Amino acid sequence: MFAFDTGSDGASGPFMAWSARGSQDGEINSKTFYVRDGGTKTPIDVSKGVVLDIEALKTGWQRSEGIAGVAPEWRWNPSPAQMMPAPGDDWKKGISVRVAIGGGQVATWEQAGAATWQCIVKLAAQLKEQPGAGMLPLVKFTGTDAMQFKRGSTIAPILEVVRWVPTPDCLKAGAVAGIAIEPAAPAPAPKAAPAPVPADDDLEF
Amino acid sequence: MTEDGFTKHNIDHLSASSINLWANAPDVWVMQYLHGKRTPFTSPAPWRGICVEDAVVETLMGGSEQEAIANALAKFDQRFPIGDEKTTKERDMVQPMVQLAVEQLMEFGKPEFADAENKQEKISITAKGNGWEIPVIGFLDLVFPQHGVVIDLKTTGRMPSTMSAEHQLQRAIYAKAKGGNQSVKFLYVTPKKAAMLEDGDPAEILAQAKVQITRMEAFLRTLDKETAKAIVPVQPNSFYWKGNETLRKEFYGL
Repeated sequence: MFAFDTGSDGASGPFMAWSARGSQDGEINSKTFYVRDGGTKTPIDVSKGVVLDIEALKTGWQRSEGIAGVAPEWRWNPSPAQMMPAPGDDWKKGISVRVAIGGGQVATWEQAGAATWQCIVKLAAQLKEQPGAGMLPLVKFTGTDAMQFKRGSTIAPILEVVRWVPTPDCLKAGAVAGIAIEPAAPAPAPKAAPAPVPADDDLEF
Repeated sequence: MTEDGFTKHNIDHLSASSINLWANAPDVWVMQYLHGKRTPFTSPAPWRGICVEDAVVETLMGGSEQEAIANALAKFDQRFPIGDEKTTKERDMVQPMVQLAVEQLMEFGKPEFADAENKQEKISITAKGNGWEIPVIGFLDLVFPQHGVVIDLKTTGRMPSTMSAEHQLQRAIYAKAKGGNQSVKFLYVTPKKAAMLEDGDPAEILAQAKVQITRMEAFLRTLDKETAKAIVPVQPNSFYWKGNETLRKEFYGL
């Protein structure tokens, strides 16, 4: 299990985000991850792989007034494994996770909504295979899922774990070094299931 | 002499769950037992049951209840690292269920396990018909020989007034295996209450099970596995397919 980071709630930029439909200003195409640093948006190619700091992953509920310059409000869950009841109707499920995006750079993927949530929930099936503390998933963007609702639709990214890697230096507290994404040591083979104990009673019916 | 159906399909034993699945969802049974495609375990409820049972055994064996609950929650979180409302609802049941079950079971002392490593005891009885026989096996949760009682722990969101037919069959198999020397009870635990039930007449239930097993053997003797797949009725809305709809579509095209 990966532990909950009880550190500061204040996320630090730059910020990574998923754009299902593309940005209105045309800077970002649809179905693209990008990094926002100040007023600049830059697409990033997640199909080449990024490292998610799942040991400091937070999940929670977000409410946004949709006003430029006003930070959305977050209510974080006590741990990623626990989802608190929605604080209200206009709150959406979301995540916050630090991401090593290559070249020693780190961005925070802090986003709410059905697409992001589905992406992380689908990825969770692979995250439970974490081979040990300090090993983080190198994930890559492999495709999209179209999501249809009663009203509206969206497109969720699909991320898949390529391999597990030791925590890159850039994700270590206070470090500014580049990403070290050496292949992870192979996980120990699972133990074979123990043989059933032979029964000594054999009654007929 | 013709080969019996079980031998023909390399089926060397049955269990309560196999017999119940055959009776309730033959389409799922054919896929699982003849074609070897298991329906993966996707729902959090069965996993919650396993975690509760582990914690109960740990506590009854002399461990700290608080630590046992913490271990159970860690095990649950390993399986469902990103919680949603559904998994959190199941996770929240772990602590009260462990506490209630331990409260009910404390009076029996430490359980004994024939297989100490896996904390369980395997039992087996044999169903015999015309030209065939097949072992029916099971695993006992909690055996208290000094009290002459076997207890199977069932965690559930809602307390049943009587045991389901599926659980009654499981109990009947255990009771037969224990040969009347020990009573077999099922302890049902919800987050709010616990109740010990022992419904159904084992002899009558086993007689009905034998009819089902006889039909199963005839089915197996008559058909090869591809024909079984081609003709078995498929129930897409069955509870047994929940969470495995993709597998069903891949296997049956429906």
